[in-house]
Amino acid sequence: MLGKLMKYDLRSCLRKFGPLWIAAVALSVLIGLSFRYVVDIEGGSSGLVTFLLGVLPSMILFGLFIAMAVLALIFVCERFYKGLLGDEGYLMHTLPASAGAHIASKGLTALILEIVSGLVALLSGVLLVTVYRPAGFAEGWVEFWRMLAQLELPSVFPWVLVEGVVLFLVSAAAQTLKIYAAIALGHLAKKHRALWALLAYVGIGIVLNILFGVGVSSGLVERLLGFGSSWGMFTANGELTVSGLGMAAGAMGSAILTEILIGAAFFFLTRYILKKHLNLE
Amino acid sequence: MNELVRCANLSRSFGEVRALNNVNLSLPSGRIVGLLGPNGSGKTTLIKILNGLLQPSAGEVRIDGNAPGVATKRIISYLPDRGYFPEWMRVSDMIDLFSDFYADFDRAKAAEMCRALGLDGKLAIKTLSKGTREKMQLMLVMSRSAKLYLLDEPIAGVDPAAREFIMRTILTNYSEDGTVLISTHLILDVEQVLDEAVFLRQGEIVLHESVDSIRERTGGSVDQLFRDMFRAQL
Repeated sequence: MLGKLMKYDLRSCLRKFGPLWIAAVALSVLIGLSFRYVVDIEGGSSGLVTFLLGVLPSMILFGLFIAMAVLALIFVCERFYKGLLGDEGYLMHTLPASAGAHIASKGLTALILEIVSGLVALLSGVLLVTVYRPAGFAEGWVEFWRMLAQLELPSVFPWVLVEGVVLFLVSAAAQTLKIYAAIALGHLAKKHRALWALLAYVGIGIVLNILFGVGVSSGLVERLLGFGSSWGMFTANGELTVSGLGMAAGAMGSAILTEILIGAAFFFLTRYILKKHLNLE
Repeated sequence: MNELVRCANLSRSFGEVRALNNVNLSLPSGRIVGLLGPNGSGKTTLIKILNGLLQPSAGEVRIDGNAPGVATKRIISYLPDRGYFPEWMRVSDMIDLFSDFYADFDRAKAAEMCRALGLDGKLAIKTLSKGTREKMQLMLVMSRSAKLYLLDEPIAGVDPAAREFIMRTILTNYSEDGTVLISTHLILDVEQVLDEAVFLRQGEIVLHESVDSIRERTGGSVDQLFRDMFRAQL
């Protein structure tokens, strides 16, 4: 059932964000072309030409990225609130799918939205620079890869990179599940459910901060993350040491585990409320 | 006949308000049952509990032997008393959705009803009128060969011609092995098709009897009996 639910959640996501993604990519290519052929940044173009064909489109692209981030946040909240706790809930909760499948579908769709939006932003940047080809860009690019190949990176480095990506993904998922849990808690109120959801979100943040504070003062966080050991992360020259990277790998592993546990707690809290305390108006 | 629905000592409260109070109800398969009562008598609450949209405060429910859950949702076709369409969908998306999730959904029947309603699959649902959306919702619900149809106020707030269309759609499309539970306070419009009547008053079942038996016993119609019993409330 999860796959079927996701099919419709992804479709609604694509209808909303597909045009934005295409617009961002197209605009970045246009700006790249404009920089390359029309606007002479070195000073050949007039101020007005530079503004109209260079600065203004760049501002629009930047605005588009901001809008994409804001719309993504609104979409994540709205699809959960309207889709499961508004009138649409009468349809969704009578489909033969479990509450867990509904939450997972919404959460995974949100994660995919965040990843694709990030990749679109990255692609836009790469396209802009590739199309523009500023002076010395090609040489600089080749030099960058040559230097990277010459670096003697410790064997733990790829592992740290993978962990970084995993940490980013589980943190994003936990943040989304935190929003869902807050909305579900707000649903328990008789009136002003959106306001209660907002208060619940703030409340959850405060509780997590207190727990983190207690963890730090008791030394638990230090032990979990592996700080405070005799390992030095940097040498006297400020270079990252192999043991420092090893420590970072361990710390990120603990952070991943913590995020998974926090995300799981939000997931089960939300599932419990949807199963036992659903009360559509 | 097999028992399809069983409610035992079912109660549901909302704060101080008791919407259902110790309801005991047994419904067999293959019947058309009227769940009749004035506004606020607990009809929608009972239907929501049967659907799994609400949890009872006390008592238990069994649909075809199972507590409300994924298994019962496969065999229940539910028409709520409000529109539930996602705004972004087209008519064809909703048909695809029902087809994807319900094994008993008949696409050919849905297509036929769409034609009768003049509904083009490409139409965006948000462009449809309220009346057309309601008919489309009914079309989707009645395109299933469900074991239990739960129809919550299907004829409330519509003109007499639309009522006739709705009742005809229900009668010509429901699976005859299944049970249809229709909640309404407009008895006169449904009386002719009912096998059984359940009267709800302030969350309690005050009568559950076959329509033939009511007519024989009282010498009048179900509507007349309803008016007599609920005169003070109506």
